[in-house]
Amino acid sequence: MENPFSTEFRPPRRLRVLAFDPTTARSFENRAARVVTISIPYEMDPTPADAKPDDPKYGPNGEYFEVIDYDPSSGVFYTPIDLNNPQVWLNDGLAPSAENPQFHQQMVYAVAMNTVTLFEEALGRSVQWAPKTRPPGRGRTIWTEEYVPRLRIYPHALREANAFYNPKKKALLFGYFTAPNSKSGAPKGTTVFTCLSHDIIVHETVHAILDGMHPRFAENSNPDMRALHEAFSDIVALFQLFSFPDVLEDQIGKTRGDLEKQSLLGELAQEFGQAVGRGHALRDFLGGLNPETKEWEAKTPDPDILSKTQGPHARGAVLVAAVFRAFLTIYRHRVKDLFRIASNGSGRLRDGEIDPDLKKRLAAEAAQCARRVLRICIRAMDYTPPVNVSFGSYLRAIITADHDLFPADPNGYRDAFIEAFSAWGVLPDMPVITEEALLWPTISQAEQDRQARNGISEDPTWLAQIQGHLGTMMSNPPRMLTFLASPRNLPKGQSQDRHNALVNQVSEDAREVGLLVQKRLVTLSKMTGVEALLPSATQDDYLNVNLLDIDDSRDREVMFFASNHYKRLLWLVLNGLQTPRLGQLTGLVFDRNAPATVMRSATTRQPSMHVAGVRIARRLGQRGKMEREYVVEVIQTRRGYLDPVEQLREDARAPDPEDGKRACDFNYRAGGTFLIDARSFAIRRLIRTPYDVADPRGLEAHRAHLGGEELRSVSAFYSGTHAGADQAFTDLHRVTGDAV
Amino acid sequence: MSAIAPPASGVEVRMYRAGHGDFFLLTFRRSKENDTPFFMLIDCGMKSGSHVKKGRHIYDVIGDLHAHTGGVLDVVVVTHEHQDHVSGFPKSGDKKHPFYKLGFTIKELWLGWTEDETDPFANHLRELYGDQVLTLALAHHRMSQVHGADDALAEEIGEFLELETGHASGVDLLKEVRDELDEAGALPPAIGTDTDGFGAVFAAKSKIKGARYKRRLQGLRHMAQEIKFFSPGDGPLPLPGVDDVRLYPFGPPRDEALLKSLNPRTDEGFHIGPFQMGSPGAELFGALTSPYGLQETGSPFAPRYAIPEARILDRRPRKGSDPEGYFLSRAYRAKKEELRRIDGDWLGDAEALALRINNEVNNTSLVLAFELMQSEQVLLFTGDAQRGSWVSWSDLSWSVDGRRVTARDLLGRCTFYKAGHHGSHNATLDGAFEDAHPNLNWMARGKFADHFVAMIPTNKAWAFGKKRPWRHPMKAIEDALFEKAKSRVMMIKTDTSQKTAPQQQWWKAHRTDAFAKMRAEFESRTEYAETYVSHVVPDEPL
Repeated sequence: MENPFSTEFRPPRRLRVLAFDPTTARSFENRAARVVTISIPYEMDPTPADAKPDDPKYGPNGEYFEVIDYDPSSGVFYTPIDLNNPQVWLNDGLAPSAENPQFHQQMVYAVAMNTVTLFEEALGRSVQWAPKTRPPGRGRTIWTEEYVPRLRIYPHALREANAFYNPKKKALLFGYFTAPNSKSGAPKGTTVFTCLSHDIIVHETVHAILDGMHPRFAENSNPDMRALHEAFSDIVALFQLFSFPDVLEDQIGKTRGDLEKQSLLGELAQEFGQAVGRGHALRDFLGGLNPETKEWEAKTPDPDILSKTQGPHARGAVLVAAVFRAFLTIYRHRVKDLFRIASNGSGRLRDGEIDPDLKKRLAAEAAQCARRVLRICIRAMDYTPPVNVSFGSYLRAIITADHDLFPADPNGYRDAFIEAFSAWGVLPDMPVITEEALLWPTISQAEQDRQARNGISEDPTWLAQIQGHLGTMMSNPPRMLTFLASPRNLPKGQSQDRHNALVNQVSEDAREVGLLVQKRLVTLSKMTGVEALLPSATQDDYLNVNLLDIDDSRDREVMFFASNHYKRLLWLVLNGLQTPRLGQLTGLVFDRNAPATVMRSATTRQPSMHVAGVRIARRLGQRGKMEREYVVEVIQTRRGYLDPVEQLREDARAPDPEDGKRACDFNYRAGGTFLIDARSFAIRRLIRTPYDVADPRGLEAHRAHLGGEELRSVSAFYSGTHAGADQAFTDLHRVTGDAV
Repeated sequence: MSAIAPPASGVEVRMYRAGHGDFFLLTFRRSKENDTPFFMLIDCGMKSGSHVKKGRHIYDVIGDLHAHTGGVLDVVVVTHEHQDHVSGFPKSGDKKHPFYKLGFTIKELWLGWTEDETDPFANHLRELYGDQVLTLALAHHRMSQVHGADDALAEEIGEFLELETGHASGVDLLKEVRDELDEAGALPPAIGTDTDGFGAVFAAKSKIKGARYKRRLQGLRHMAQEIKFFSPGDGPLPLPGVDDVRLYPFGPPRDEALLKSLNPRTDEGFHIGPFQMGSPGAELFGALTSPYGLQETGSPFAPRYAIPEARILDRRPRKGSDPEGYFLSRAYRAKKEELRRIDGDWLGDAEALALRINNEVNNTSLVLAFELMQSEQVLLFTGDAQRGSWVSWSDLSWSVDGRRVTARDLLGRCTFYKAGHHGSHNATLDGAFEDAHPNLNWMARGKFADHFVAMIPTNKAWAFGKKRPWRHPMKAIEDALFEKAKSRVMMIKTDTSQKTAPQQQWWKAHRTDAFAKMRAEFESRTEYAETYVSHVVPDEPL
C-alpha cells in the first residue's frame, strides 16, 4: 500500500500512445495528431508496499491491470516492458513503434488506465471488476463472490481481426491479423494489430468496466441490451479520443471550425475502428461524404430507424448517433461566442487560414464538450434499472443523473440530449417527452401514484420506518445484525435455521472486513511511524461505522468486501420488510402465490430477491458541493420457456425453492434500482423495470425477443439462447461476422 | 418384409427411419401398362449416435431397403458428401457392408457437377476444400493438445470434422492422409520440427486423386454401372424408362460468385494457402502450417523480442538471472489463476471456419425437382441447399415443348417438399411471393395450395436433446411448414410433448369436417411403419 502521508510529490506517470494507428495508413495530413501522451495519476498506480522504488515494474503490472504478453499461436512470450526503467520513465515511455511489442504493452496499459481514470472521475468511486462467482457447495450455503483485483490484458492473444473481453477469464484478448486487400487501409499483406487501436482498447475496457457495474447487462433480454453494451463502449471510445485537444486541433484548422461543415468530427468518427471493419455501422448512422459535393455530411436522423434496425451493432450505432448529435449541438452552442469574437460580431471568418489562437480555443472547447458528454453518459449507468434496460430508459437515466447533480441547466445540455434522442427516435414509451416527465419518479411521487392507483389514502410516514432501517444498517451494521439475530424478528414461515446461518454468515463477513481494515491501518502506521493511527480498538469497532463511506481509502479490496457485506445485510433487512405496500411501491414481488417459475428463496420460501449491488456514488455538484448517494439494486428472477404451453405448466407447479435448478429456456429478470441519500438515508428515487417479475407481459416480451433472435441466428447449428453470458462478447464479435 | 409395388400412378416417397439424416427411396410406376417399379435412392446416411431406436443400426434399415427393392436400384442420387447423407454407403471393398453382402445392383449414380473429375473448376474447388478441411483438422489437433479432446470447442469442431470426413478426430484424419500420401510416394520429407509430417501434407505437390477429399463415395462409384453429373438448367430430363416424369436440376449453382468464398482465384486479393486473406481460417492456416513444420510459426516481431514459451511454461526462471522470465512465469502460471490462461483461445476462429466449410458443402447439394406430367405437380428435393443455392434458382429456365418454364413456375406447382438441412436455419427460405428470390411462398400456388405436404428428415428428439442442441427443425420453419401443409408434415421422429403452441392452437381451430376429410385423405396415402414413413403422391389431374 502506498503511504498516503508521504510528503514527496509523485509526478504522474506519462506514457505516449497512438491516437491513430499509423500502420493502417492514415493520411499524411493527420500525422501530427497520431501520438498523444497520457498521464496516469500516481495514486492510481502506486508502488506496492513491499517493493523498492527502483524495482522493475514489468508487464506493465499495476493496480488495475496486468499485461501478460503471451502469443500462443506463435509459441512465444514477448519480453515485458519495465515502466521503471529510466529510459522509459524519463522519456514519457517508449517511442511509438509498431514493431516493438513492448510499445504495444505500454499502449494497452496506458489507454486502459486512462479509461479507468475517466470512470472514477465520473462515478466518484473506484472501479471494480466483475467478481468471480461461486455457486453454493463445499460447505457454502450461499453464492459467494471472489474479489478480482486486476483485469488481465493479453495484447497478442489471437490471430484474427478480433478483440474481446472474456468475462470468465476476466481478461481482454487482442488479436492481430494480416491485412486483406480492402477496407482496413493498411497495405495488404502487412500485419494489423488490434492492440494498437486506441478505439478498440477503450471499447473492450469499457465492456469490462460495465460488466463490473452490471453483470446482468451481458444478458440478451431485449433488443437493446447487448446493443447498449456495444454503444456505450463506442461512445466512451469515441469521446475519449475527442477529449485529447491535440487530436482535434489539426482538423479544426483544416475546416476552419466552420459550423456548417463540421466534417472533422464526422471524419474522425468515420475512421473509428476502420482497421477491423467496425466502422461501417457507425458510418451508416453518423453520416458520410456526399458524392456530389465531396463534403462530409451528417446523416439526417430518422426517427423510425430503430423499428427497422436489428442486431446489437446496428442498433447500437443508432444510440451512438443520437449521443453524437447531442454533442454537436452542445459544441455549436458553446463556440458561437468564439466565432463572434473572432469575426468582429459577424460570426463569419475571413478567408484564409484560421487564427491559431482561435484554433486552439475551439479544440479546447470541443475536448471540454467531449469530456462533459462522456461524464453524463457514464454517470447515467448508475441510474438505470438493474436489468432489462432499453435505450429509452437509458435516456431517462441520462436526464435524471444530470438533473440531480446540476438542477439548473443554463447551457441546455439536457435539452440537447432530449432533442438529439427524439430526432433519432430513441425514446421511452411515454405519452409526454419533457425533462420533467423523463426524470425517474421520486419516492414521494411513486407513493402518491401507488395510493392513487389503489384508490387509497394513507399516511406516507410508513416510509420513514424503512428509512430508519436503512440508516441503522448503513451507519451501524452490528446493531442491525443484533436486531436481525433476535428470533422474534423472523417473519412468519421462514426457516429459522437458514435465517440463523445467514445472520452468522453476515457476521462472519463483517469480521473479515474488520480484519482487512485493521490490517491496512497497521501497515499504514508502520509506514508513517505514527502510533496514533493504530487505534487500540478491536476489529469489530471498525464496523460501527459506515463502511462505504471510509473516505480516506481508495482501497478497492476493502470497498469490495464492504459492499458485499452490505448486500447480504440489506437482503436480510428487506426480508423483514416484505409488506404488500412495499411490493406495490417498488415493483418487487413478495407474493407467496406468485407463479411457481418465480424463483423462491430457500430461507423465506417466498419469491427470492437478489441484492445485486450496494455502492456509493460521489459527485461534485453545483457550487462544488459534494453529493453522495447509495445505489442499491435488487433483482428477481423467473424461469422462462419459449413454449407458452410449457410455461403455463411450469407456472402451475407447487412452488419449491429447489426448482431454481430446473431446466428452462431463459431467465426473465425484473427489479429496481434505489437511489438513497447518503446523509438522511431517505430513498430519493425509484427506478423500476417496466414490468415486475410476475407480470406475463414482461415475460412475453423477453420470449418474443428470443424468438426473433432464433430467426436471426447465424448458423444451422445455433444451439439456442442458453449458450451462456460467458461467451457474450466473443459471440458478438465472432459469430456475427462483424469484426470486433 | 415385402417388395414394394409401385403406386397406381405417380410416386411413393419413403423416408427411412434410421437416424438423423437423409435416407429416401422414391418408387415410380414405369407406365400405365408396366407396373415394374422404378427405384431411386436419394442419400443414405445419419449422424453418428442419432439412432431412432437403440440397437437399430443403419445396416438393419439397409436390410429393409434390400427387401423392399430386391436390391436393384435404378438410380442412386447423392446430394452432397456429408455424414448424415452418405454414412450408409460402403467404403471401397468393405465386404461386410450390406451393399456387398446382400448384393445391390446400382444402375446409375447421379452426382452434382462439383463431383465431376473432368471439370477443372470442380477439381480446383475440391482441392481448396481438402486443404481447408485439413486446416480444420490441424486446429482440432492443436486444441486437443492444449485443452484435451473433451474441451467444448474441440468437441464441436470434432462434430463438424465428422460431418465432413467421417473422422471426429483431427489427428486420425491427418494420419490417414499422411500415410496415404506416403504410400504413394508423394509425401515430401518432413522439415524442422514437423515430426508428425502433418506440415508436409500441405506441401505435397502431387496430390493423389481422392486421397484428400470425397473418399466416402469410392465404394459407390465402383458399384455403379454408370455415373452422371448434373448442372442447374440441364434438361428437363426424362427418367429412363419411366413415362410422365420430367426432371429439372436446380443446383448446385454454377455461379462462381455463389461459391466465391471457396474460390480465391477470382479475387485479386491476397490469399494464403487455400484461404482468402481475412476470411475465417486464413490466420489459422498461417499459424498452423509453416514451411518449417508445425511448431515454428511466424511471429510478427523480431526474434530479439521473443522468449520461447518453453522457457516460461516448462522451466522455472530465477528472479536474479532472468527477472523478466520470472515475472512472466509467476504471473501466467499462478495456480490460482489457471482459468485465466489463454493457451487455446486463438483457435476459436476454427468455429467460423467449420461453419463456413459446412455451409459451402451444403450449397454444393444436387437439387432436383420432379414434375409429374399428368397432374403437373412437382416434388422438390433440395439436399441441404442453403441460401446461396436458393437465390440462384430464380435465374433458371427451361424450354419444354416450345414453352418457357421457370423455377418460379415449377415451385408454384410444388406439392411435396423435402425440407432442406433437416428444417434448419437458412435452408428453407422465408419470404413473400413477390420477392425476387425463391422462398416457401413461391411454392404450391393456386389449385396446388391445398395439396402441399412436407417431409423433414430430422430426429427431432435427438437433435434437441443433444449436449449442444441443434435446432433441427428450427421452430419458425417447422411452424411455417405446418401452416402451409395444414398439419401434413412428416418427420423421422418427433416427441409429442414437443408439439409447439401454434400447432396445438392450429389443431383446435381446425375441428371442421372439411379438415377431417383432408386429414383422412392424407392418412390414406401415408404409412407410418417402424423403419420408414411413406407417402404417395398420385399423378392424377387435380
